[in-house]
Amino acid sequence: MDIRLDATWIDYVIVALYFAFVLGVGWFAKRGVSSSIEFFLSGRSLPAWVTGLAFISANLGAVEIMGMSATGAQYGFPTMHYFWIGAVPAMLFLGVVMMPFYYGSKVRSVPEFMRMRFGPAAHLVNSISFAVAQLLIAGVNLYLLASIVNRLLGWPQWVGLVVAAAFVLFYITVGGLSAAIYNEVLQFFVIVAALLPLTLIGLHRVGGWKGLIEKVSGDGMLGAEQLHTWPGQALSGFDSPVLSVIGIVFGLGFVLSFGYWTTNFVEVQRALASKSITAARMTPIIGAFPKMLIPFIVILPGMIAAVLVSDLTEFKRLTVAGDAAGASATGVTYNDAMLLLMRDVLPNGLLGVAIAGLLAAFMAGMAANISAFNTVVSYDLYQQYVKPGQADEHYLKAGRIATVAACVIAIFTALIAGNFSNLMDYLQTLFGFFNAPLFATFILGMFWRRMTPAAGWTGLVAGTLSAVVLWSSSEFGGLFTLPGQGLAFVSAATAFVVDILVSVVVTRFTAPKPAHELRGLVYSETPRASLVDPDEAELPFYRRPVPMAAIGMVLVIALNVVFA
Amino acid sequence: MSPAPEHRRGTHRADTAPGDRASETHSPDAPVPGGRAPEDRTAEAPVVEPRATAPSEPASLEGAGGDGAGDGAHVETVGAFDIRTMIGALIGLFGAILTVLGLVAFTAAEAAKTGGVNANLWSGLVMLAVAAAFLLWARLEPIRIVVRDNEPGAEEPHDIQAL
Repeated sequence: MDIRLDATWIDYVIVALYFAFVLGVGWFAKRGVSSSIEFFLSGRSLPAWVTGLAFISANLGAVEIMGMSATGAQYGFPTMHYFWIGAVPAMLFLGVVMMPFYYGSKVRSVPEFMRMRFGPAAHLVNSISFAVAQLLIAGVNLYLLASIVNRLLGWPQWVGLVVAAAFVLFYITVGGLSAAIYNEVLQFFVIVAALLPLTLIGLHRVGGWKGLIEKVSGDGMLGAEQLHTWPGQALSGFDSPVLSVIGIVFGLGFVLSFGYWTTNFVEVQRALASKSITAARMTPIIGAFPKMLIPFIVILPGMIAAVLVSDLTEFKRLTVAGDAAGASATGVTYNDAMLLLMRDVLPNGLLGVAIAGLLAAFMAGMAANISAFNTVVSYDLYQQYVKPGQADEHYLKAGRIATVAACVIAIFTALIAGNFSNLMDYLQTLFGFFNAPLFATFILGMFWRRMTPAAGWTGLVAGTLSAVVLWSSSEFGGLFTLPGQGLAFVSAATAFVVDILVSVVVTRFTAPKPAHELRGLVYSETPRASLVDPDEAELPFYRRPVPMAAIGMVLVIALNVVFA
Repeated sequence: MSPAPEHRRGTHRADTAPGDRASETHSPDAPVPGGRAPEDRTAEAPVVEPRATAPSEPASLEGAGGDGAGDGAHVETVGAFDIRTMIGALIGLFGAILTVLGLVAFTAAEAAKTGGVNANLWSGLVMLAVAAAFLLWARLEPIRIVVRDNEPGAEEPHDIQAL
């Protein structure tokens, strides 16, 4: 496979500078020499624009950049749904409705919530599935990292995987994660600094917006269907426009999207680092505005690559025609869309910035996965169930072993990821298995006082199993086929519905926890005073959650209409 | 939708109720001498944001029973490690490199790739402008923090809050 990025020394200098900054801040942070750093990292009283940017940057990683461009190359505009239906409404909901509850409650992480709300069984199930999910997703990030190494240096895949895994281990050890907020905000600007020129130059090369529209309509494959976001049948896999809309709105827009944004505590923790309830609520709402615009710099490059880069056009033509062997003979897949465009369009210099941005995003993503795995395995699993009551050093040591083990295992899960020509399919499927049932149990548990601990774990297990069974019956058993990401949406919806049904049924036959144990864990048991900010009414409208969320909603609906 | 859900065990949040503010004991313009950070730089420009008048509240429990002086509370200006300064520095550096490249290294081969546009030059200039804006913002509206020492044995050595 001969895709090489012709990087020169200046590109490497730019990449090195970026890492010097980030690791440098991490180094200073670890030494505790500066109260300014501590202020930004300890998570207290940060201005809303910082938390808002960190909020979306924590999310702007491998999936957004590579997955969205891959899906853009494959389907075109319907990919926008991942942002305008699949993110913005949920973010606004998070800010307006959920955040006061998180701020006023005892909840600090999802496994902790499971343990306090439902007891050890649900906690165990959740911790195990969370740990497995982290390993699988770390594999995706590692695969992408290794593919950049491969493109840059031409090393074979397995070498790239090992080298990249080793570098991530180094990054974690030296303290790259200690500088998390800095890293995320810096990352955001570097990525925009790289992708915006990439998109503009790409548009210039295809003849501007008009040129892009013409070329895409005339590509002889999906044609003009790629220029309309609705009904998006190619994306959802349903032929019927009605089913397609329902699949997208319910499967993606509700289950997957709300499931992700309300249970993803990395995101919620960014918001909790703010000055007040109002600032915490504003964080996802502020983040929603740039989020609406990000599709233009990640999806458009994918679409441009599909018409501009001859290798990719050829691959697409063969895949759409059903010629799998011919398609793999081209040596490229949809996942390469972004890199191919970078190769063909960016001069050295900007290329370095782009590589720095991509490496930063994937590395931070994988490091976060590994770190989350480490935490869950050491504390939620090992300390809780295997060897409780030891000294701190014991668990730290266990954590280090878990970190190294995770990096090694990620090499193998990366190979799984490599089998998917579009990583988004793989990732959405994983989300369907893990996030969808979690969301159902979480939401029920949060709002339904009567839900019992037994229902907590049985719902989770049933939901996950049903999604896995459904998916396997299609993937391996060939019982039915749903192209596009329809299978992922249906699995997610199934997991959600099954989880709720099982939880309701089991609750009827088992005993709930007494109300006093549920204080701060259930909405109705959380004191009203901690949900409301008395100072909010005096603020100007652009600092208040509800007005700004309303504006955001209007904008995102307008975008849907304009690009329908 | 990106991966990496993570719950960070290390993020210790003091359970301060929203709106809890440590009472301000020193004027923001006179940091206590012997204050820590070497990058401490009080802005020369007049302070743009209104001075926060803290309502009188009970002193934070970390101070040794007293109202500030005993726990080394002082006001600092977030200086070189202000996130806006870092953004300005990094993007400015990139911008400078790209601008220079655009001026000296714009070859015909590159022009073919970009369709005739000197991409490095333009991107570099825009980045320099953005960087300048951030550095200016950081200088004109500095973030001030109140730093007080915690009792020995506390999870964190200092308690730091925005002013």
